[in-house]
Amino acid sequence: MKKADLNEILYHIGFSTQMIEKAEHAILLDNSEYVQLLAKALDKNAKFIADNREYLSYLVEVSGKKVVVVSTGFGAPPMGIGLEEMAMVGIKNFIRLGEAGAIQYGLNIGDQLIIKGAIRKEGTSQHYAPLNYPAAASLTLTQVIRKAFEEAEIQAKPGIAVSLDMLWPVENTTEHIFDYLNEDLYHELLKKWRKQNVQCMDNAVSAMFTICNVFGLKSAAILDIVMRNFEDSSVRGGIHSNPQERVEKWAKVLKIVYREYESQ
Amino acid sequence: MINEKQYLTQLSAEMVEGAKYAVLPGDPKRAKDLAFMLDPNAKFLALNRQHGSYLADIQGCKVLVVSTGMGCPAISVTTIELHKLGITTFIRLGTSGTIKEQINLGDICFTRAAVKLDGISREYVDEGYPAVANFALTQAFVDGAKQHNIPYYVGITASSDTFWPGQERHDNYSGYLLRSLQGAIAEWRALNVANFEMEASALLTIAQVLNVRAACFCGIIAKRTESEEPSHEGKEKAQLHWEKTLKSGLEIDMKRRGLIK
Repeated sequence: MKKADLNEILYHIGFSTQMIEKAEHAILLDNSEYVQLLAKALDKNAKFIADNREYLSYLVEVSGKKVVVVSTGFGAPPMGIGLEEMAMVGIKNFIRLGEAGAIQYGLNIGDQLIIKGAIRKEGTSQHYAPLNYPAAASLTLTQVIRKAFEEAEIQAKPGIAVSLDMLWPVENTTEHIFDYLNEDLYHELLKKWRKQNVQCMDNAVSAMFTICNVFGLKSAAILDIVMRNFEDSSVRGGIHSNPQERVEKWAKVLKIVYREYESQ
Repeated sequence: MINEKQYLTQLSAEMVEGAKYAVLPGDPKRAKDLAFMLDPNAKFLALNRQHGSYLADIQGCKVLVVSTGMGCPAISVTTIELHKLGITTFIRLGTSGTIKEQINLGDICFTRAAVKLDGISREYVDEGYPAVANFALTQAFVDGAKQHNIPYYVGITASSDTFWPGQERHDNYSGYLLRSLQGAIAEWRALNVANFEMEASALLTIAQVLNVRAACFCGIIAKRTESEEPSHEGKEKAQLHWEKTLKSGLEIDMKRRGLIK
């Protein structure tokens, strides 16, 4: 496995092993607007590391562990690039905090899901392994996360997701001509996944799970429902009206995760 | 609604002031550089996630410059958001590595059409649906490069969802490349493919579906017949070349369409 030199600053992520003080844990956010907020909620002495392209990074210490909080941008390609370079600087455990669109009727904006596996409907992971290779989370890390949610008394549903390159299919296709053009496809996909017990859709988790499995690294994912677009109702983005509340929920769970994960 | 903001770019129709042209680099810092290169009085519009947005003015013709972030999914979702705001001409400007031996560091490589080594440009349409550029728009930028005697190449680009395996880089973390990808560079070269990058196939496919104009050109920063690594010297040279190509190409296209004098 390729290891970067201690001081080698990697091309895309913009940091070296030394800059992250040999941290072995990373929290991967899709939205860079939450990076600083979450870092400060985890550790009031959080340190800014780098800001390059989609990768904004902070270093925090949680329960005696160094953890890098970093954004990986939109979709699977920058997730793949980020994972390659973070693996090279020595990170071994990845927790994804991401956004998802609801597939099941029972899900509402703000609901949280712990994802154990994902349908690989993105191109990135296919450059790493054939499609029959599993996009599955680490059992150890996922179990610690499940228990942390219980201890924090925060609800989270387990399940599988579908990770898409395409825009999230919607049932309300009046907003843009592109949705209208793909109306039949969107309805067909949502109906199929709903029947197949797929909870939600995101853009990057299946790439993370697949690549981490290939590399022998651990990964787990917590997704928040930010869009619910069904025939009867359509809501998007309401979760961003109270970022502090969202971040504090994450921080409460993550502090327990890093405390417990040590004992594994 | 004129002041309704799009989810990712946080831009509204009101903010873009009727712009029809959008320049799409990947990197938010490059978006800023390009906007001020085009217009020293460019206006900052928004910075949300990986999307930095600026509005430049070329003799009264507005040009939006927005960074898309890396990869085909990111450029797709950005294109669709901007299309909602009334943009009908999309120009991707990026960095790239060579496949063909005769293309050199710093050269500008124009994408006439793209090989789909990505997921999204095969999703909505038949796999064989062509990822092909708008030729008149592409020609305007080729003519811009010619004006400055910039070395250029017009050809077929391979757009990959990955930086390492899809572009046959062997120096990744695991050091292993799927057997189906081993020897890919030699094969694409034999099939007359010029260069690698990570966005063109999606932009060109989606623009074709939406019946809008799109073009893509890149500065060569890695000569893959010599090295897997991007070259800093190549990047400096490429930047000078893409800045001149962009500015002159926009002016040529706008003049040909009667938008400026």
